[in-house]
Amino acid sequence: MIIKTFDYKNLLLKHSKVLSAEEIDPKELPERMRHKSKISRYFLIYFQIDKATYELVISEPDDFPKTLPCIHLAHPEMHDFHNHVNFVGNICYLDEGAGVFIDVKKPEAVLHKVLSMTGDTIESSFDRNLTSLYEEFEGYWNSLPDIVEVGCFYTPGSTPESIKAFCDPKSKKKFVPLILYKNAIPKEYGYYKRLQRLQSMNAWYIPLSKSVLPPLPDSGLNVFYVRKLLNYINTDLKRKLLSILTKQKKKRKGKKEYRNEIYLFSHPRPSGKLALFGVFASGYSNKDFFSDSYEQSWKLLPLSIQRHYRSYMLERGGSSLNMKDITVAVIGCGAVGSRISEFLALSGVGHIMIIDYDILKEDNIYRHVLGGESIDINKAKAMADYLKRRFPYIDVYNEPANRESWMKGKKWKDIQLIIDATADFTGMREMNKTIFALNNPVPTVYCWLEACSIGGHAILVDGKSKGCFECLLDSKENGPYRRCDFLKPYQKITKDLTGCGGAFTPFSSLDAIKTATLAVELAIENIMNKQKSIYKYWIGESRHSENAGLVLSDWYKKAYDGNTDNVETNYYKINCPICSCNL
Amino acid sequence: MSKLQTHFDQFHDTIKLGNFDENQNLRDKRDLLLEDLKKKIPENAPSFTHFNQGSYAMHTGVQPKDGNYDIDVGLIFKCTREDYDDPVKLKQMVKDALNYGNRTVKIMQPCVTVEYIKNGNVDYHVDLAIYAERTNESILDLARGKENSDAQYREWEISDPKGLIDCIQNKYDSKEDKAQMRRCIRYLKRWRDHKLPGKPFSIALTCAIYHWFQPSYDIFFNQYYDIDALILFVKEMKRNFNYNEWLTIRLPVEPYSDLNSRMTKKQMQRFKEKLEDFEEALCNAEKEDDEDKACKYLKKQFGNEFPIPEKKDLYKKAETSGFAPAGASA
Repeated sequence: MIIKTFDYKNLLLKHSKVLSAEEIDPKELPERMRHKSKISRYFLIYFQIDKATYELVISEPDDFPKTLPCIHLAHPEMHDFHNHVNFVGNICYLDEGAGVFIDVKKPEAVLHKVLSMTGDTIESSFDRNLTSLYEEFEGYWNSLPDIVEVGCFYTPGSTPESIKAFCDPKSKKKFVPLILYKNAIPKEYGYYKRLQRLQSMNAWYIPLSKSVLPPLPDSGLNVFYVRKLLNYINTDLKRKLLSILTKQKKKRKGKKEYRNEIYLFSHPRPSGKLALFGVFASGYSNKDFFSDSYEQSWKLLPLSIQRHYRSYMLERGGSSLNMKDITVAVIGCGAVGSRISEFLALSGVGHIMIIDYDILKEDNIYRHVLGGESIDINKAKAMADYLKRRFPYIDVYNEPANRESWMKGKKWKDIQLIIDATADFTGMREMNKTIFALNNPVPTVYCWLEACSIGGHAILVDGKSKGCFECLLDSKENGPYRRCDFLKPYQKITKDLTGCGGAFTPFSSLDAIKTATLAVELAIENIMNKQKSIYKYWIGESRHSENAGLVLSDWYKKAYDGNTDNVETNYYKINCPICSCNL
Repeated sequence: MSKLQTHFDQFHDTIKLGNFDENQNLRDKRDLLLEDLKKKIPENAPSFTHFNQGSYAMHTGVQPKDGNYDIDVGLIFKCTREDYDDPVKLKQMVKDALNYGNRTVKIMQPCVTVEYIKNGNVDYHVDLAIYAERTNESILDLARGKENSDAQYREWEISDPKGLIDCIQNKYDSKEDKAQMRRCIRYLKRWRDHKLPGKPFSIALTCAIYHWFQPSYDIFFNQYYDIDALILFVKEMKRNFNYNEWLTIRLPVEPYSDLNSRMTKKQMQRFKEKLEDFEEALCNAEKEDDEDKACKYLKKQFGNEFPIPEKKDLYKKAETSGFAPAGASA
């Protein structure tokens, strides 16, 4: 709770450009000007910008200066366009995309900075350069009254085409579209469930060739504005558009009836990307919306386009579009493998193959991606179903089999990369050998983690450069072991909560996540940048291991003290029986 | 593996020739010779300064197999090539000044060699490389040519002996990397002595190491393994043979010449064959579990100085178990 030590009106008046400030009754304000958060008061101020005086309404949020005030033009309908000022006159004086860090101890400085930025924002349009408004067309459009959000699964391109929409005639909104799409939305995708009982309708996509300005506040969205948009289409496209419109509407031509028409528009923003907006036109007419010369018979609703299409969602989520055609196989869908599958999907890998013969049990729940609903189901299948529910643009195949029977098939040779997260070192060693024997070795990442949060390891083997899984192995009297492990080999590290048969390696889901991150980073580096064979690790504190009486390897001590990037390129054996041919 | 490194260390101790300054006897002999030269050289000859060059200066010397120790000393005369059109003239002055007593002095193509005879055999020899200065340059001119050489073989050759020493000395920052590099130069020289006496020259092998050697260090065990470094180096050297089956080893400083240029095609062919055997033997030794066998592979390459452990000291590798707890998860 901030105790106010200032008088807001006084602070306003202290600003050199504020000529007067009067508190106004909130009831007198139109709804559109009311702030979303709690507001104590509103003030009408006369604000000097250059030689003009602007009437502005500024709010005083309850928790100012922690929350910044909203500023509106008092009479937006009396003004022409301004950059960063929307339909309802809201002045967007600050780009809050990257967040704001406010010094709450300085309310006067905060308020004065807001006012100065407001002045600068308005002044930026004085030269009639409206580049920012064209750029932020969607922001303006979405402030139109009665705006309706529509999910768009359709990827807008450069030619007009007939698309589809879903609406829910049984709801209040009736034929107002909820979704725009062209290709079927994958049925497994979780979002699809809410679309199942919807009715499909025709819709049209119209790409405008030039940037357009939004409707002015004094006129609003009207029939003239929308019909005039067709003037912004180049002649060729217009011909194509008319042919699509005519084709679709031929049957209904001439009859006077209730018509619901859905249009998705795009136009190029100055930065090159597309601005999207839509219009829902409903009316009683014997002609379609664009052929009808009457305006009275049509009612319009602006549509705000929510992008659900692949290229946007991946870029917005920080994923790569370049991996949509890549197939990665993940062998082992345990605590690490399930995270790996998830991270691959999040990174934009388009095709994932999950191989595991095992069944998910209650023992796995606290370190697996999958939860209670998948208990007693094959891990690979349950994981594939989970990913398909979660992501709209992904193919996930599952093979409820072990590595060896999967490798006997031929499918795996066509994949771009394999990640082995089985911790079955006998099998991993065999696979390393098999892959090196191929004419075209498949890059493979092997990963595992050690007990007590001491660390995890991942090695990328591209099959073409020096270094392979075998290079990390050796044998002593007690048998084979991994040279790179942080715990000395042959120690008893398992824990048993239930007696014989219940032994397990103690590690947490966080350890699994760190290991999966390592493995996926290596995989992506190979796919995107042709990363050569390399070994990477994460390393933890030793206290848990020491408490458990485990002995650390010399390598742990060296790795813990030195190498800060946790990468080693010099891990390979010079005379390795598998990969020394690549030296 | 770790045992083999012990053997390499022992072998290295056997073949290593100590630092020049550690060898009081040789140092005294060098100083005596230089004193003599200063006294006996004609008054009209330019004055000179000296510096150590060759394997002593680079700390890469090996014990001579025939007991004929060599000392390489550079003499920089306070003159330029223009002062002596015929470089052999200057070499002759050096020869004349030293040629008495139990010494035999010969003018060789790149130097003046002073041999000391003991009991009818050469006890040791000093190679004096004769340099002239260059105006405003750190590099020098080396006097080349013999007494009876044709005029075309009597020449001043641009030379940077100190630059070469710097190159080798400063190739690596790490003391351990540097030490492994020097050990490998010594192993290589001894291998050459055993398999291909004479050629390639030691300087060529040293420069080959400069170009193609990579230190080999096992990060997991915190240990340098010389056998790995040798395998890597030999592979790299083999890779550098050109389509004519010729290995050019360039001097890394002026005049950047091919240090193998005086080898015959046949010598080069033999060198390559021997390198292939060497690589095979190193690889066999590396993967051999039986220490005795491993050392025998190496002894064949390096000669009798490579130690074969006594039967009682043999590290007996116990049979390894077929499996062990994996000790990790995913």
